[in-house]
Amino acid sequence: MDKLRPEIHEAFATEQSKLGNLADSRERLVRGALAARAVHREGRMQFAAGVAAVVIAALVIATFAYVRNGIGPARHGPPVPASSPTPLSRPLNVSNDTPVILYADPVNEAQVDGITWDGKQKGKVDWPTKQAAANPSANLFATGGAVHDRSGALVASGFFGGKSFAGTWADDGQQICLMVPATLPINATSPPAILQVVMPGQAPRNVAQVGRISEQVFTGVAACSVRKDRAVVVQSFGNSPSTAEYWVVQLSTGKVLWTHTFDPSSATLVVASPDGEYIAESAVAQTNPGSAIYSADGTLLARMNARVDGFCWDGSLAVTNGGDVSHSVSVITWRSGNVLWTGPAGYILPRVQPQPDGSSLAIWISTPTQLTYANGPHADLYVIASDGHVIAHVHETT
Amino acid sequence: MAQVVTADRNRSLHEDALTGDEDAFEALIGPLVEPALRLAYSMLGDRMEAEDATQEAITRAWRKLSQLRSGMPLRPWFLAIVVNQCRNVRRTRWFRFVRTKAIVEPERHGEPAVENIDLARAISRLPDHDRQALFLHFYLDLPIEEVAVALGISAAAAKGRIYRACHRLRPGLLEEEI
Repeated sequence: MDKLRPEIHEAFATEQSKLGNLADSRERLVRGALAARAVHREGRMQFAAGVAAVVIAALVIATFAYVRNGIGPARHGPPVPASSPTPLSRPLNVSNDTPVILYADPVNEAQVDGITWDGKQKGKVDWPTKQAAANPSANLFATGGAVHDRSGALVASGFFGGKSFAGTWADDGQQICLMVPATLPINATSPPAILQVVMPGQAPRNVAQVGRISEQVFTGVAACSVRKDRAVVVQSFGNSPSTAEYWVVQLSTGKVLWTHTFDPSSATLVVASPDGEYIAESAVAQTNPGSAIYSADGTLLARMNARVDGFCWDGSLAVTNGGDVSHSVSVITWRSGNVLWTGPAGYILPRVQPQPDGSSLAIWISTPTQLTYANGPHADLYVIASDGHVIAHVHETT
Repeated sequence: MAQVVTADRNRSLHEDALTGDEDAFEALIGPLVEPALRLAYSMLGDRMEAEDATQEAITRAWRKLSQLRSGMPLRPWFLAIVVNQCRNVRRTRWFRFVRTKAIVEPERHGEPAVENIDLARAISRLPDHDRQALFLHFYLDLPIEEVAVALGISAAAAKGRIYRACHRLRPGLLEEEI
């Protein structure tokens, strides 16, 4: 036993050495816990206020039903749309550096509306056209050959994909990661494509040659983080989202930090957090959906029995979906598995947008019927806070 | 690391913390954060996950502080909260934690061949509850009674668990030697 004790201690010490320096842990974790306690307390107050609001609302509705219909069984009718019956007419009046979420006006699809991330301000936005790709804050808009600001003024011209925008805005909101062919014309024997970082108005910088571009192969950038010095480049074969390979590339050196290859016949969806720190690989099959989350160096961090469709800005929250209408769209803290928000049943997930430098998520979800509308697919927009409460909800947008 | 902090010894801090004094709470719980984080890391195998669990345990300790009776040792009480939090993380419906070493480990073939294998690997193959008992007793230097409180079992069960684990590592070991 005397001999065993130091041996066991040493074995655990070797394992614990991987923890690294804990010098700052004490103060940071205690302070974090006390701050979380304050949030819990606020949450409880909000919950109590919410319950009170629900009770009051129920009383109002019950009174209304009593007056209108008399006492009797509840009547069920078609759902009443909550959207405004006329298009928003007031311009969105916020400063250019205030991040907003853009969506098509539920009444007039040709009109673009915007809402602030706190849900407090909403209005129409004259620019951009819906074909332009907005940066994370939605204050710069790129087409294949130009970048405009929110007022519509030209910021820069250049090659950003040609006919249409083919890049990915970086997490600084200013630069763009772009995949371009190494040679033209492209064919099956073309050399690997070039990952470029472009500051609009300046010459592009070639970073690395990874992935291929041809008629049957698409290579794009899932995450472009100039702040964290990396990009996640994804190559898919055939119909998206079947993924065949992806690379984590260091932007300053072009070094491939990690790569993962798949069998092209097993359709896999790859999404990355905006900083490229977390990469989720999800089986696209609608039965038994499953996913694995990796760090940027390839360490397997977690497995989940749901598809991951997106992350919040720092990657701590994931938006998951079972893959079909029998599952609900959820927002979860993927490290703990804590489910923060679950969407209504019968919806599937087309799109996720993280709040830049924040923790909220904009989630567009659709019923199968909404996806088959003659004038194009529709969706309901939910803005979800990091504690799971719904900040805003817009019906029947795109 | 063999620091014993009891509610009696820290009576004034405990009382101050109960009145909402955050500095007193930090002084009381602060020395236990590192062993708690190490325990959580041992159970979860990931630093960020361990930090999340430890932070949540600290929050719970604050809320449950009134349940800590005078004279009750603080350390095993707090570590018990950490153990429970780590268990909650591991059993969550959505989440199945995968430790890298569990992936690269060779297949298990019966009991560890004691003398011929690396002790660290043998420890990693122990059932989780046996491994936790060893960690608390041999690494954090908790006495049997505190191991029992931290794991929510009797002292006799804690002693038996440690003996059983040691016996799997060294079959010739006698119970009296523990």
